[in-house]
Amino acid sequence: MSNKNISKWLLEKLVAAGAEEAEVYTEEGSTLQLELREGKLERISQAQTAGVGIRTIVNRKLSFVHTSDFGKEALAQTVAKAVALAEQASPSEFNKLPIEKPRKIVMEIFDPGLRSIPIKRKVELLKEMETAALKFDPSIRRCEGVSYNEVSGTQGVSNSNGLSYSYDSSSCYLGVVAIAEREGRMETGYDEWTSCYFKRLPSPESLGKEAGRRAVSLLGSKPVKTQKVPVVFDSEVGYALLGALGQALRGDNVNKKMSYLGDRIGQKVASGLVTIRDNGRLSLGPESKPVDSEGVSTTDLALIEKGELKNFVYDYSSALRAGKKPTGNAVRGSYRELPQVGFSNYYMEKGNLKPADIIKSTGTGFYVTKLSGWWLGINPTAPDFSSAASGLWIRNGELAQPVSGVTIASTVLDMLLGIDAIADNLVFKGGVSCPTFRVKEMALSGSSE
Amino acid sequence: MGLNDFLGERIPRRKFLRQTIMGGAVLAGAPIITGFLSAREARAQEESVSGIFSREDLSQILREALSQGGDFAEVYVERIYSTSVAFSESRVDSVKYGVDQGVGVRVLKGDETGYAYTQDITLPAVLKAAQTAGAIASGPAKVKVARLAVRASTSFVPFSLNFLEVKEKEKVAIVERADAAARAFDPRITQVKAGYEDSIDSFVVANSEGVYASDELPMVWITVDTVATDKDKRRPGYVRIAGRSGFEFFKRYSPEGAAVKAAKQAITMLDSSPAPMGEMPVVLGSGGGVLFHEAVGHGLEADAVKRQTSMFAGKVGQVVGSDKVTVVDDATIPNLRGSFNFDGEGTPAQKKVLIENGVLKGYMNDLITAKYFKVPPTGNGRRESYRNYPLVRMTNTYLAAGRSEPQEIIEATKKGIYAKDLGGGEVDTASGDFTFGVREAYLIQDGKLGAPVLGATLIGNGVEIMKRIDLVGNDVSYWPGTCGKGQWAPVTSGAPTLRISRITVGGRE
Repeated sequence: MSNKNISKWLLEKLVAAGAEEAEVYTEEGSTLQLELREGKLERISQAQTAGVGIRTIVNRKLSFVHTSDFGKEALAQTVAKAVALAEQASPSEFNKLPIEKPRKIVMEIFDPGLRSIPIKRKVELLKEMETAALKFDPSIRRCEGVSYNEVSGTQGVSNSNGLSYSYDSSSCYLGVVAIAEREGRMETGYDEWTSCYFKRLPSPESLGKEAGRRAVSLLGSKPVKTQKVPVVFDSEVGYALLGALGQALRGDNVNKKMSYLGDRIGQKVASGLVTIRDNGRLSLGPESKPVDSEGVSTTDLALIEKGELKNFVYDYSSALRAGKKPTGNAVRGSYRELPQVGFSNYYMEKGNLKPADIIKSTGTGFYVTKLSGWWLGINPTAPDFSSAASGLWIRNGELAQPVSGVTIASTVLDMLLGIDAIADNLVFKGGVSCPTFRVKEMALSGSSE
Repeated sequence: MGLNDFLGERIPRRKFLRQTIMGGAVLAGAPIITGFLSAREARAQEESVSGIFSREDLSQILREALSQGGDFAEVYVERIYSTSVAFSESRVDSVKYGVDQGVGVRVLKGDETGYAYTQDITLPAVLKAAQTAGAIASGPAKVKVARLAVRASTSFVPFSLNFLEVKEKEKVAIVERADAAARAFDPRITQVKAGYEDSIDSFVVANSEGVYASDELPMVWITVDTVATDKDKRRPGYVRIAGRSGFEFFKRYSPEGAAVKAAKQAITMLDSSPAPMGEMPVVLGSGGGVLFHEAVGHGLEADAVKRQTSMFAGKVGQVVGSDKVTVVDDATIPNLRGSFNFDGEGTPAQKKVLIENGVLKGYMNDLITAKYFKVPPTGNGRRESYRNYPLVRMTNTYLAAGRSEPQEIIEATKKGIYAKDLGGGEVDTASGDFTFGVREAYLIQDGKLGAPVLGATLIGNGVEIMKRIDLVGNDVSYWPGTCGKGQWAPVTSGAPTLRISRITVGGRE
């Protein structure tokens, strides 16, 4: 049976077995992972995978089952289990599945030639990337995680309300970590890129060089003393602020009164310079999709506009509960997971300054190029932010000595309100994107002297 | 590389971020797997995981894998059943149940690894995967497959109540009890989310050198998230308990105990002020082993040493900590989350002293690094599932007990912070710079505990911090986590109460 026929067959069986509503999510595709070390392919991993995840609602109670066994007998047992399990859950009037008329949507998210590009060609990219990193500076002794990952396949979602979509998508990724060494101390720098199309990956040379530059820039880094300073977030690290904020923008957390932004729609929560969007339809966006993982059309949504909190992201059920329109923000990691509220191409809009001008106008401050552990304390309930940071000191408006061994701390809200400069360097190279920006003051914890 | 809830450097950063934003997804990550058989049927099938392929079949698969000239081949057959319950607002959001099964084939040729897996557990499909993995080599077959000899099993993970024989209703009752206990603790607890997950993972691993081992590993994992609200203030609390144990786990550990701890944490934090900034003495409460997992553990994984990307490379025999520091990795502690009988390569679980009284003794190895360093493998070759090749990973990593009473350590500290409950952590093995999170902390003033302070990150560099550990208590306890290194591994990290004479606290006051 084709996936479409399997879905149809499963939905009929589920309804016959007592499901009020049911949804079948199918995935099939191939994966390829390559890792290079010292000019040689170190690891190659390949697989063809296929699986089905089923949401079943019986008496407004929800269950989820999945299987990769497409034998008729196994599928029949799956159906019986799905219906029986739902009985163990509690009823909720919001356990409902979307109703949308099937229609054809075309988006540029599938590279049909990706799989047939020879592995040898992909390994060549890795070699060029590693070589470029090593050649950047003699202090770069080796690289780590010189890798290419690729996923290509078909996702389908259909439900008993007549909704039915299926689309092809692909994704390829290049990443490298360069390791610089001086006087027995190693520093790392990385770069990476994700794209739907092979030909839209940047030159591996540029990624290798950038990783090398980042590693070398931190050689000789030392802590500075504890103080409160302006902090400039490089475009590579601003995602941490969006990541911490994202927890509070989730409609399901808002519904459960677990978000510190829950009652602040229409209020000023950020500086007037700040606009943050989630756009599932972004042209050539790495996370663009015609529909989300429960078949609801994706949208281009302003979350914060010129500092004002405008919207939260919702899946179908959380939108129903909130009395809002679903925003097409149901995501799932694989067919083995229930959909949950998440993000697509999630980004801060660019400003009109040059990154260099932001540095210049900073006087004394900290230009952060690397964060570690920023995610440790994030929570939708409390906006506290504390992270290890490395980068360069800004003295008299110029980049000066490298800094590491310090933390920066504030709250997500104080950071958003404190943004007083945003650069024009927004690039979509992964799901979460940010231009360079400055927060006018954060607590920097470092050495005592 | 990070211990915890989330993960590490090697997963594409933005993908990680998306998962992070998704919230509990990654935390609950690995074992949310569902399926379809009735308990009785499932149990019968699950017991026969080693019967899916005969030893003759496995030998044929290994021969196919080596047919293009590989040096070494390995086949890993796995089936994981699991159930999970999501609970919030005093109701069951959803129940999941299921099975995940597949076969992975690995072929080594020189320093190169070829890997392929299939979810189709028929001999032709696995032979095809063997061919794909074998293509890492090119040429005629060189190595003969040795006769498969069954490795005698040990029992570091004894269990009696198989989850497949426990009704879902009883599993739902666990989270209901947690919810009720947290809400009863204090009326200011305004929200409770509880999660229950269990799994039974059985696998068979066989390789061309004649190893044949099988294991059956249960896992249970409970989380309780609380929110305390008082006027405009809102604070979270979070506790989890976990173990490689059957459902009898709940005879020893009560969901109420975990829930009360999570509720108490949120209530206590209502009165907290921001943590201080700067360097100061910090006393870590018992269970703060994440410090050792990050500060030294990852750097002692021999793959990083082999690649020269660890600050501990070439330092065996050298002093890397104060004489109070003895760090052990032990996969044989009964029923801990990081324990097993055989690792993902079929090597028996072991106890390894990594650092003894401050002196570096050795590294953790898998088959590849053991061969490279010409040492015996230490049973640290672990894999998330049949989808992944083995990597050198920690198991239960801890700082051995010292002599001090916990109370004496606090009393001996004039001014500083007592970090009672830690979150996860992250490390850059090359620089040795690590970060870990504190969830619940208190000021120490003149040897006495004072006001609660908000969570913050603590940072340091591996060897430097190990040298500043000046007091070690006698009360080791273990913290369950999930460690990310491009793939997930269940681990614990353990420690007694201890003091670091000086470390940077990422507060804001």
